[in-house]
Amino acid sequence: MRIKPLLFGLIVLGLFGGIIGGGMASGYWVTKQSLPSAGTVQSSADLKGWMTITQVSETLQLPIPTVLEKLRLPASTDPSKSLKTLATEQQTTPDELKARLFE
Amino acid sequence: MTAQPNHKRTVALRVARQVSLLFFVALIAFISYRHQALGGGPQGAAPLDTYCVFGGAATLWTYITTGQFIQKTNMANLVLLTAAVTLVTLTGASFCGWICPFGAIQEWLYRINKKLLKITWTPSDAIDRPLRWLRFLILALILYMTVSTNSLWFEAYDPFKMLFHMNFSEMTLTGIVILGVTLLSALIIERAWCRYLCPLGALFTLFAPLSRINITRHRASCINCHACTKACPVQIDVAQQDVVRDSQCIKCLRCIIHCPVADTLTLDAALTSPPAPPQTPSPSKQHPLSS
Ligand code: SF4
Ligand code: SF4
Repeated sequence: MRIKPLLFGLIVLGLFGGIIGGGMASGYWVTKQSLPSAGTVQSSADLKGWMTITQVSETLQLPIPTVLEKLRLPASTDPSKSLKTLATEQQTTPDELKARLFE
Repeated sequence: MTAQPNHKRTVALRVARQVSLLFFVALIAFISYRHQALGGGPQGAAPLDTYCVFGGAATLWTYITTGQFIQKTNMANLVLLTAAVTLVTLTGASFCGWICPFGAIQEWLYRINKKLLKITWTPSDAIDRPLRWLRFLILALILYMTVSTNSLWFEAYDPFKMLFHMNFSEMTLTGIVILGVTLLSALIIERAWCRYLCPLGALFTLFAPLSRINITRHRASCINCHACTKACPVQIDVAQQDVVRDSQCIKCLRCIIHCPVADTLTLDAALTSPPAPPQTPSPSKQHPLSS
């Protein structure tokens, strides 16, 4: 069966987009990371740079002041800031910052 | 007298493919920018890695064996991998010619250089063929290192990520050097990364031979001008083939656009088995690069 070149382009885009659309419609298209369940964090590798102090406190089941203390951050630190942002502010890396929580 | 190809249609085809490539370059740039602006996690936007087809291949083993994803990858990577592999199995490596943003950047760089500086190089077959195997070595190395480190080991070296990541503070020196060399080689050799180094291209090579849609050359009307061979960005000798089944064919359709005789190169779909080559005798052969 002969296929017109322009139609071929539409088939390529339609097939690719169609499968992704099918994935979205059936709920398989998951892009966002979710917070690890409370109490499941074993090491600093389980903590992500995008986590805020509030989220770290929830996952580690520790009060926010304790988290800030372990991170060696001032008690006035905004708990909605992410580890990545705080690491940049502290001129360190998120990995180094996270490691402080397990010292 | 031979029939001329429809000029309007060839222009529309060129434009359609470039618009498609431009769309995916813009989409990937937007996705990356959004992540940098909003951050990651449930409150932000997913990183570029989550929208990478190769990320699906990298995380697949971990997902099968543990039910978990490697950091920065997610179910979306597996959906993308499924879409790309299905596409390649049915149509050949058309993902590379119509969708891949990194392929697009290389293609544009080469064109700019060809117009402005004109310093280009077409490797001989003796160099081209062995170099193509490098892609498989790179694919094997990346998969091995990804599984053994349980991380996206390649991200620090990936020129695609280096180019689109939009966060200079997270770029590694090695990654910058690799990106520089890749872009420089793309200026001189058309789609150099795709042809010799791309691990995703290597993966596609395993599925592309199953393609149901291939380019057929009709010997009866072919005038053996070799314009198709000269136009091919991946050095396939189209003028010497009855059906292009080379897994390197990225279905850019440039050979069809450049063929001066209408309906001599066509796209044919075979639902059950690959299309049979035409039985008409071939006119006398010329040197592949003669005009
Ligand atoms: S020019 Fe033709 S043979 Fe070469 S990659 Fe494009 S579609 Fe395939
Ligand atoms: S472009 Fe290729 S297929 Fe078309 S006439 Fe010339 S040699 Fe034949």
